[in-house]
Amino acid sequence: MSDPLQQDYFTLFNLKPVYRVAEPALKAQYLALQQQYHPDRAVNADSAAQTLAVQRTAYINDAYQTLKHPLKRAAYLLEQLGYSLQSDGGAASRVMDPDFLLQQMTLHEELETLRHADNALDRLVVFQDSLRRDEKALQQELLQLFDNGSATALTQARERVQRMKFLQRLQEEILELESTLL
Amino acid sequence: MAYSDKVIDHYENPRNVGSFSKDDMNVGTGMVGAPACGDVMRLQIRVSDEGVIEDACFKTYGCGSAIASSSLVTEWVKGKTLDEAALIKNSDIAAELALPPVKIHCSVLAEDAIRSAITDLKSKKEARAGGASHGD
Repeated sequence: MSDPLQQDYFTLFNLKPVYRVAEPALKAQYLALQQQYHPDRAVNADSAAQTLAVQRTAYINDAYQTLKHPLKRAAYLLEQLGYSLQSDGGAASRVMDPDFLLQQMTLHEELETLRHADNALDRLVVFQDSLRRDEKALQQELLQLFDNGSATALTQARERVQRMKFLQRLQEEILELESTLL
Repeated sequence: MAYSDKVIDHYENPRNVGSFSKDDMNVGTGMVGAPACGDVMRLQIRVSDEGVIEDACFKTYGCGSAIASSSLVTEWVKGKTLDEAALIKNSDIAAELALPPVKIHCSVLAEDAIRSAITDLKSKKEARAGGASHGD
């Protein structure tokens, strides 16, 4: 059995490197790995072995959190396939579609006005629902693009993941605003 | 992570926040975004007929460093010609604000924004020049 730390997340979880994953199988494999490498098993070993056990458990946890999360899984898979999201130094502003950016700007402005509205909470719910629909649509597109798997499709998938990061950012702001309103 | 005093100053008292009409022939709009963090930035310049930037404004939804970078750029570009403004480098912004390496991309974003605003303005002028000569 090779060391978990030497394996990519998909290999570690006995999965093919594809976007569609079966949640129950993922969870079962996570529990099996946790049991197999649990630090408690190294409780009587020397300190180097204990450290290694903790590192392995942390790695297994990271792998599970990544594979479970649709956006993180997509980003990780693209990285594995050679379509790094960071290939342009992280800024990547040049590749972003101006219409999409304008829409993001408008959504942020809307959220800002909402903050001071009378019926802020109600409007926030509507805003959030519409954002969730956009996210769902992007996720559906991602599934199809990954199924397709061509270079063109994967380049498009990377662009969709970038869009989803903007939407995620808006979701985080909604949660923040919600906590100040409640 | 500790922000520098200059970043905090721009963050707490951002200069030139706002917007100009996108349809104004003398206004150039730069819109950029950073997928890594979801920051979006809009930077606008208003240029005199002589090609000097008379006014600039911005709106940034992002972290303190992104806000400070765009705020600083609006201060820097005022009074500059388009060609001079195009020479602003992200490294100058990062140095002025003492940005740590993980925040360098915020200064890159601000540089991209001013370039994009200049490009927008130039293409507007060219479109008008083309239309005008046709009309003559």
